[in-house]
Amino acid sequence: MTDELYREWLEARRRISPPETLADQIMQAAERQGAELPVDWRRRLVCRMENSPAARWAFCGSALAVGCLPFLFLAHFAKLVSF
Amino acid sequence: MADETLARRVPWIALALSFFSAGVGHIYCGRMSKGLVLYFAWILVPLGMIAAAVLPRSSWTLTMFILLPALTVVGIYVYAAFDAWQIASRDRSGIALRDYNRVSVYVLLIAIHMVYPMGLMAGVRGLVYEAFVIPTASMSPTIQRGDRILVRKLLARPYRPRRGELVVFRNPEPKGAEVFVKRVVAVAGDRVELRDDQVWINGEQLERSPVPTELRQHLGRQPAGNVWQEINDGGRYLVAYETDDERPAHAEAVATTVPEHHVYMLGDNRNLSKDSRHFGPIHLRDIIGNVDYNYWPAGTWSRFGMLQPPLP
Repeated sequence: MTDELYREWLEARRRISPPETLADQIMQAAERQGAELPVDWRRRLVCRMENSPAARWAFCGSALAVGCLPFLFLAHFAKLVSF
Repeated sequence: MADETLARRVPWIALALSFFSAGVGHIYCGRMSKGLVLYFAWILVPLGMIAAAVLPRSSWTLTMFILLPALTVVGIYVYAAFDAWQIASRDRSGIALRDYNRVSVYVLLIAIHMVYPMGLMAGVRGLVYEAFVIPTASMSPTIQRGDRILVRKLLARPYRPRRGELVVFRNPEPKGAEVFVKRVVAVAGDRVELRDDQVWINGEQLERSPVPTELRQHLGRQPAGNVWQEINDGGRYLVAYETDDERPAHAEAVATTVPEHHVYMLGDNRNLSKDSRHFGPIHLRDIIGNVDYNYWPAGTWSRFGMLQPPLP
């Protein structure tokens, strides 16, 4: 019975032709979604970085370089490196 | 007041914050207690060094209280990054934001973390232990060229060095190296005489015995000349009388009395050392500290740790 109802619904949908403004509607919807990006610049930056693997790698690499500075200082203290 | 909004934690942000500073990634993920423990892990290094400075000297003390805490801090840094990534990846539904879940808090913690480990290290170097690399063979066979030594600055006050101790002191002359490492052979009031490669303290010749070649080969790169085991005030140490073409043996005899608040220093490689024979006794205020450990020996690791000769 459920399958029968589903088939009927499918046939009814197939008989309906798409409106001529469908493309415009899709474009408008996409534009609206773009306008819904966070207002806060930091959140916007995070959203953009989430879509860019290169940016993520660069950020994490920079963090690693900065975070290793105390270890560099420890190595300098132990006379393993000199600068 | 806590903000109960559920917020998704982004794994790569947690990882990056942990890379910046161990523990901040956990704080970003709402794990404040664990984050703070990881954040302050650097304190292990100075605490270990202070403990090592007051404990009896041994290779075990060096390993457990100086080397292990330093390696632990490195391990904690790696673990914190991995764990923060895991937590953020696991908490897909998000966390309830707290007061501390703010960019300004993360930036402040990272900024502090850029300063406080370096401050701790600078404090340790100034007050507890300082490392030196040995550039010459003047203390061979005890300390060889390329050895890395740890000098304890945390000294008893008033500091009264004993005969046989290894100390680092400021060069009393304006030119040459800034600091020297030598052995105290005589203290204030002692009469020192040096002649024919032998040392007399208060009229008594220091007892010494030759070190057989088969034992010397286990002690790393050794001087070409004669090596003796000398006994001074109960302490045993090795001395060498090495010569080369550029610097002949120090043939000039010395006879002097060490003044008050001074000590008389000699290098263990007696013929290749610039010491009190050249610039006289050293004032106690010029002493920087005691040499406790050879933590990175050049050549062979059999000399790791202690500076006592492993001889019978």
